[in-house]
Amino acid sequence: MRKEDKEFTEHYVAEFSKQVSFDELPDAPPSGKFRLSLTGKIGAIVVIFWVFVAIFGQFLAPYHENDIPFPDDYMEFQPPKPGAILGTDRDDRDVLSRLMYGASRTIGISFAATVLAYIVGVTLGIGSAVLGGRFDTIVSSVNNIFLSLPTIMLGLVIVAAVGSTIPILILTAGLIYATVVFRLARAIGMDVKVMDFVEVSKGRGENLWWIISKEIWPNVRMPLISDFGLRLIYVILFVSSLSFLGLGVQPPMADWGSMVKENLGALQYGESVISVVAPAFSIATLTVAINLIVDDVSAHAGGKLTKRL
Amino acid sequence: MPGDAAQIRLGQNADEDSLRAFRAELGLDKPLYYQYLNWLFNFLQGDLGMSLSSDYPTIQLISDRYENTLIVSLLTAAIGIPISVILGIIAAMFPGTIYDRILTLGSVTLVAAPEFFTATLLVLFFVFFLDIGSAVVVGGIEGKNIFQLLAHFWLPVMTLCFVIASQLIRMTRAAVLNVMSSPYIEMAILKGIPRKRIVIRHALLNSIGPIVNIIALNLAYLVTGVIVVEVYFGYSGLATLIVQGVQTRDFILIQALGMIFCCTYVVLMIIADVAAIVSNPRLRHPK
Amino acid sequence: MKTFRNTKGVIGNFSYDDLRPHEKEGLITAIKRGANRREVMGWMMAAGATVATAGSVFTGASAALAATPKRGGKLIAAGDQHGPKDTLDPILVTAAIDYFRQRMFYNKLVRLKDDLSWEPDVASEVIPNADATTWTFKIRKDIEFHNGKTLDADDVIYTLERHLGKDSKSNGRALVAMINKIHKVNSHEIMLHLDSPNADLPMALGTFHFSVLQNGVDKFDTAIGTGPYKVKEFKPGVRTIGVPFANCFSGAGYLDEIEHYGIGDSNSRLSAFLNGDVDMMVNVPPKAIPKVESTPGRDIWTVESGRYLSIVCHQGVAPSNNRDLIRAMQLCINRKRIVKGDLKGMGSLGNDQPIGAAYFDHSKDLEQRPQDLEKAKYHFNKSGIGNTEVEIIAAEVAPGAVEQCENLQREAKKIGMNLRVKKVTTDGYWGAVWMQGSPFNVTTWNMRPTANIMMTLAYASSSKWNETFWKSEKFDKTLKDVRGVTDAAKRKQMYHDLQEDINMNGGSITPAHLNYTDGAASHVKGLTYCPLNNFGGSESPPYLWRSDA
Repeated sequence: MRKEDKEFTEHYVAEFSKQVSFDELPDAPPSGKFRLSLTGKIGAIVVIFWVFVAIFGQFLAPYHENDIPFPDDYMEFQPPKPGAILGTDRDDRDVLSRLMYGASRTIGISFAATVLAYIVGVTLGIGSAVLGGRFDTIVSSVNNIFLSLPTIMLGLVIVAAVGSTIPILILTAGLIYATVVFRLARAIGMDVKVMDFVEVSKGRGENLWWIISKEIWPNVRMPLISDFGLRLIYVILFVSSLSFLGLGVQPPMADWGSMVKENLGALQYGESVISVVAPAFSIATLTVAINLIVDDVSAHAGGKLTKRL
Repeated sequence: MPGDAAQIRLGQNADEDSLRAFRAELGLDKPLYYQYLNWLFNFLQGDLGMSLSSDYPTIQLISDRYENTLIVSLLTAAIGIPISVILGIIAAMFPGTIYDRILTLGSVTLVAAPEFFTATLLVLFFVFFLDIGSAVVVGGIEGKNIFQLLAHFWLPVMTLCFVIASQLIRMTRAAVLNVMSSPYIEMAILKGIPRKRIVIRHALLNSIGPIVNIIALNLAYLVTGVIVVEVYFGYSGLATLIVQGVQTRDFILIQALGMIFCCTYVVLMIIADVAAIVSNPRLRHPK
Repeated sequence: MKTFRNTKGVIGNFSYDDLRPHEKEGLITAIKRGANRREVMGWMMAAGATVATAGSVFTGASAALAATPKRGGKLIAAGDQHGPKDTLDPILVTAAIDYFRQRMFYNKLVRLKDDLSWEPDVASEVIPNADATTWTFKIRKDIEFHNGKTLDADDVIYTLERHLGKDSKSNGRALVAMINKIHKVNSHEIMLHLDSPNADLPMALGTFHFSVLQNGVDKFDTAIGTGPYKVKEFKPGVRTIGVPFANCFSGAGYLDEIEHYGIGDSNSRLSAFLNGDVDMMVNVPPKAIPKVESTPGRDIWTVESGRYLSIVCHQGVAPSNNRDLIRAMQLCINRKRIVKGDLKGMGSLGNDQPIGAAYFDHSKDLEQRPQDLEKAKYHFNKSGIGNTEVEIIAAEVAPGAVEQCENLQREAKKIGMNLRVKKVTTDGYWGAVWMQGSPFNVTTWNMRPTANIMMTLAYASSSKWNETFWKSEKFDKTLKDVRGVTDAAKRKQMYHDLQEDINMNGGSITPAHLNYTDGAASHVKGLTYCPLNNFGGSESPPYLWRSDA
C-alpha cells in the first residue's frame, strides 16, 4: 500500500469515527449484553431442566436403567401405570428411568462432541481463511478428503476398529463434524475477509489476531452460532444412526436415540407407543429449546436491521 | 479391525487350514503394500478388481446398485431442494413473523427426528393408515419411466426430502439474513426499494455462494450417506454397499467405493466453489 | 399330540383354518399315515376341543390334504442380513438366505425330512456296510442339469472332493472329514470309504453345503444345478429370481417365479410382510406374533428347533474355570424371562447342555436347572471371586444373544456379583473373540441332524470347535461308543449320561433353545417343517405353491 493511500485511509477512518457511533453501523459487531425474549426464556428453562435431569437424573430415577419394574408379568410396551409412570419398553424396563439415565449420555455426548468439533473446526477454518496460501491449501485438501467420505461410514470404520465406548463416540462425532464446521467457518471467513471493514483494518496495519478477534469473529459469529444448535442435534442423530446399525451407545445403557430405535416396534405392534414417543419427544423439546435460544442470540447478533425491516 | 475377509466369510466354521487356503485364494497372504500396489496398478488400468467378499468383480456389485442411489438422490434433489430453498428465502423475507417462526420451528423439530423415526411414521400413515403403496421398495426398476420411478421410490424420497429440508430451510434463511445485514442492503432499504425486490434482486444473488455450498453438501450426503434409509426401505444402494464392505473387511470394495465417493464429492465442491466465485465479484477479482 | 389352540390361544370352537401352520401340518401328516376320523377326534377332544370343533377340524384337514398343488403365480420371500457375501457356491454358504437359494437351484444326494430322517434324492439308493465304514451311493440316471448335461458319478465325486483335504475352504468340511477315499464303481455308482464308522453320514450329506454341482464348475455367478428352479437373476445383496426348470427330475417348481431378497431391518421386514409386499419373511420379532396372527391372511410359520443360545465359560483360563462361579451364574440366569418375556414362548428352557427337546436323543429325565438366587449366592461366596469384575464379551450373533447377558447381569447384581457385558460388533466376532482365549463370551449353534453330531462338534476334546475347551476322557469315550450301540434302552441311558455330564461339569450357560419363527401368507402352501433353519429348514422351495394361483 502506498503511503498516500495509507494516510487517506487513516484520515477516512478518523473522520468516520467522529461522525457515526460505531454501534450504529449495520454490520457492527453486537454489543456484549443482551436479554432473552419470552421464547428465549422458555427455551432456556427447558434446556436448564434437561441439563438438571442429565446431571441428577440417575440419582433420582425410580429404577436402575436395566431393571424390570414388574418381574412377574412378562409384558413389553405397557402403558403408563403406577410403578412405571411412562410405561415399560421393549424389554419390559421402566421408560422413565431409562429416559433419566439416557439424558446424561445424550446431552453429554452431543455437547462434548459439538464443542470439540467447533474448537477444531473454527480454529482451522478461520485460520485458513485469514492465512490463506499454503496453510489453507493443505488443511482444505485434508479436510476435503475426510468430508468426501460419508460420515456414517467414517464413524462405522472408527467405531468398528476401536470399539464403541462413549469417549470414542465423542471423539469420532467431534472430528467428523469438525470437517463440516471447518468448511462453514472457512467459507464465511472468506466472505468476511474481503469486506471493506476488514480491508480497512488491514490498511490500518492491525495485526492478525486483532483482525480475527475484533473484525472477523464478531461477524462470523451469527451463522456459526445458528449452526451450533443444529450441529448438536446432528450429533444426537449421528449416534442414533450408529445405534440403528448396532454401533452406538451399547445396550443395556440407554440414550435417547437408541431408545427410539429399540422401541420402534411399539408403533407397529405395541399396546402403548409411549416408549418410543417419550424419547423422541425429549429429543424434540431439547432441540427446539436450544434453537429458541439460538434464534435470540442470532437476532441479537443480526442486530437492528431485522427489526427495522 | 478384527478379522479379515476370509475369516468373515468362513464365520463360525473357520479353522486354520481352511483359512490359510482361502487367504491364499483371495491374495490376502501377500504383504499389505503388495496388495495395495497391485490394486492401484489394476485401478490405473481401469480394473477395480475382484471383490474379496463375493464371487463377483467389484464393478459388477457397484453397477447393480448405483442406479438405485442415483435415482433416489436425483429425485430427492429435484423435489426437496427447490422447495426448501424457496421456503428458506420466504422465511428470510419476513423474519420474525409468525410464518417465519412456524417454518423455523417446524424445520428444527423435524431435524430432531432420527431418519428411521420419520420413516416409520410415514410408513404407518401412508401405508397402513391410508393404504397407499408398499412399506418397502419391492421389485426392479427396469423399463420404468420417471413417474413410475417416483412411485417406486416415493417413501425413501419423501423421508430424505424431510431430512434435507430441515437443514436447507434453516441454512438458506441464515445465509440470506446474513447478507441482509450488509451496508448495501441498508442503503437499499433507505432508498425505499420494496422488500421483495431487495431480497430477490440484491440479497439473494449475494447469498448464492453459501446456499450452493449447502446444496452441494446435501447432494454429497444423498449419494453417500443414506445408509439408514436404504436399510430401512430394503433397497440396495451404494451407502449400504460400503457399510457391508466394512463389515466384511472387503478392502478392494471399500477402496473402489471410496474413490467414487471422493470423485463425486470433489466435483460437487468444485461446482460450489465456482458458483461462489461467480456470484461474488469480490472473489472474482481479488485485490 | 400337542394341545390345539386357535389363534387367540383359546381352546374352544374353531375350524381347521384357525390352527397354527405347524398344527395343520402335524394333523395332515397324521392323516397321511393312516389316522382315521375317530382317532383324530379322540386326540383333539383329549386336548380340550369340543366334538363339533374336532369334527370340523378333521373335515378341514381332509380337504386340505385333498388339495393338490397348483402351478403358477409368484412368491416373494424376504430374508434378513444379506450383502456382497451372498453366494451360490455351496461350500461357502453360511446364512439362511444362502441356504434357501441352494434348495431352489440344487439337489443333494439325500434330502432331509421334517422329522430329520432322510430319503434318497440325487441318489436312488444308499447302502452302508455292516459297521458303517463303507457307503455305496447309487445315482439316478434321469437327472438333467440346467444346461442340459446329464448327471453322473463324476459330478458327485467332484462335489464331494471340494469338501475334502486340508486345503478345502468348505464350511461343511468337519461333517465329512472321515471320508478317506472316494471310489467310482461305474458311471452311476460311487463308494465312500471312511476312516471311522459313521452311521449319520447320509444325514450330513443332506445338509446345506452338499449340493451336487456339475463336474469342473468353479464360477458361481450363476447356478448350474439340477434343482426345480433355475437362475433368472442373481445379484448378491440385491435379489435373486428363480424360474421353474421344466426338466427337473423331481418335477419343476410350482411357481412361475420366486423372488428372494433381504430386508435387514426387522421392523421394515415386518411392515412389508403385514402389508403384503412380501409373501414370506424370516425371523418375525417374537413380540409381533400376536399382531401377525391378528392380521388377516398372515400366519406365523414356526418350527420347534434345537438351536440354542449360550454363554461360553473357557475351561482353560481363570476365572471361567472356577466351577462355583459357573454354577452361580447358571443358577442366577432367569431362563423363564428369556423364554416367556424375550421369546414370547417361541423357544424352550435350556438346561446348560446342547440337546434340546427337538432332538430325538433328548433326555427327559435330566432335571431342569431352576433359578435359585440363594444357592447361587452360596456358590458365588464359595468361588472367592468377591468384587472382582467378571466380563462377558457379547455380540448379536443370534436374536437374544446380548439379552441373555443383560439378563444375567441384572440377576447377578442381586447376589453381589460384579458382572460387566462388553458388547462388540457381530462382524469379525467369530474370528476375533470366539475361542480366542477370553474367559466368557457368547455363542449360538444351529440345530444339527443328530445329538451325536452336535455334541461331537461343540464338546468333544478333539473338536476344533470345542468352544469351552472342556476335556473329559469319560465324555469322549461315551460319545464315541454310543455311535455303535443298537440297544435302545442302553443308547438312551448313554445319551442321558452325556447330557448330564455337560449339564453338571461342562462350561456352558445355556438358557434357551430357540424356535424358528417366520411368517408366511395364508395363500402360501407346501410349507416344510425341518428344524435345521429358517423357512422350514430351507427345504421348502421345491414344494411351495400358491393356493390362489
